[in-house]
Amino acid sequence: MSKKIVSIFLVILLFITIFSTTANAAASAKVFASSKSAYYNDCAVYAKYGLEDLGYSVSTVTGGITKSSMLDWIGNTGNGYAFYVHTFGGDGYFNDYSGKSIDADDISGNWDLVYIDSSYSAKTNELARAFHTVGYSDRCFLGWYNPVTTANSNSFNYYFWTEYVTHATIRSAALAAASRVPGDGTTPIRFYGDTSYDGSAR
Amino acid sequence: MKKYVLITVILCLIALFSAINIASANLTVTDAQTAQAVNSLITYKSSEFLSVLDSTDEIKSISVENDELNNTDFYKVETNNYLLKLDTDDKNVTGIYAKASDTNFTKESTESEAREFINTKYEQLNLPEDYDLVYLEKIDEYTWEADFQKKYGDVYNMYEAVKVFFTPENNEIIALTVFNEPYENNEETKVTTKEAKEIVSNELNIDSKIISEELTIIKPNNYFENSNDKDLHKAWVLTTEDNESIYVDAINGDVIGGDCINE
Repeated sequence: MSKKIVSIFLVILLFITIFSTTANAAASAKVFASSKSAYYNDCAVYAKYGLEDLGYSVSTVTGGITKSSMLDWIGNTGNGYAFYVHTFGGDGYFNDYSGKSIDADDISGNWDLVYIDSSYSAKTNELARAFHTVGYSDRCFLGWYNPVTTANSNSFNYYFWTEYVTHATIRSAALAAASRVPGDGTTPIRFYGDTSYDGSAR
Repeated sequence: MKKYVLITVILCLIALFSAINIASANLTVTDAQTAQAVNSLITYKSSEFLSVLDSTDEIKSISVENDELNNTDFYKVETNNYLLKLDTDDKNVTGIYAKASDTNFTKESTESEAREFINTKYEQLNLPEDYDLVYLEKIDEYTWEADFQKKYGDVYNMYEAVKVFFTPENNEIIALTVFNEPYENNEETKVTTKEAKEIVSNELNIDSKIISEELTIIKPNNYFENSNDKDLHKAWVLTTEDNESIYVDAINGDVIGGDCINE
């Protein structure tokens, strides 16, 4: 009899443990920043701060970021829904530290918040569509539609991640941060996706 | 006679007592009273600015924040729909940022409509009269960027400027920042473009071909050497075909910084 009670108790305990783990697991985000930019470390710190404020559980990879480590994250089958990378790149692709490119064909999955911080990453919506951030509610993509310097992107990231994220929609936060960086045309930020999305982790 | 002397003495004592009271009253303004007065001024200036944007938003909070990049404090005012930034010295509004923006439009504005809209708003917001509109570009289907800057001789100062993102279709200013850093050392340019290129070639051993040059006002940075200089300098910005920029001081020929494009 007592064995039966203990067994039932253990089964209930197991169910509660599994249920609570699943129910409370925070969505994850990963920050990648390449050391080829003089400001990579700062940008990674700002992004981590902002993503944590949005409710994500965040891990960071800085320095010699590799194509395979980024593809591992892009192909994750877990709870990863946000991705920030500060690197060099162009229209429809972005690079790892050694210059190996990731382009739209390499990308899969459904993402909530993606920001590819490299020149021309948002010149077209190719990358935004590859991450499935266009045409859905509560999803968005940020990038640059023109060249951006590392100093200007660093200033933008400081204001965007530490001052405006969580106080405004992602689109409005991006435009607020862009206006804080001196100079005309110095912050060619572009947004794709749900304009009412505030970036909160699911 | 004695009566008059006595009355005079009493009146003098009353006057003296009152004067002491007034003087001591002036010296005992509490911190709370000061904070209340500052908050009233901030509220007044914020509301005045918001009224031009047709907003009757009530202020939810006022706090002092620090801009670490510029090492300056500012007042942050939050309403339901906007965040405002105010100068801690004169309490003037130096930034306004919409928390959300409408993008549900059926028509795109033309450049002349955008120009007319932003010039009108600029005047209504009582922004500096001596800045020129130097940049007006569409950043996406409906949103425009405009930049107003102050001119020193042949060059504009982007640190004494107004940078604004807006949508004429719905009469909306999405983000506006006022930069107020005057260029103090307005000397004649002494270094030519040719000399600046020679300095880059000789001092930095940069072989990459220089594909553009621009005379501008800029802040030094640590791109080549550590620098604590936060002053504005008139400088040549030389850009190489490898997407690198080098800042050469146009007065004394020093290399004062650089940057590179994230490409």
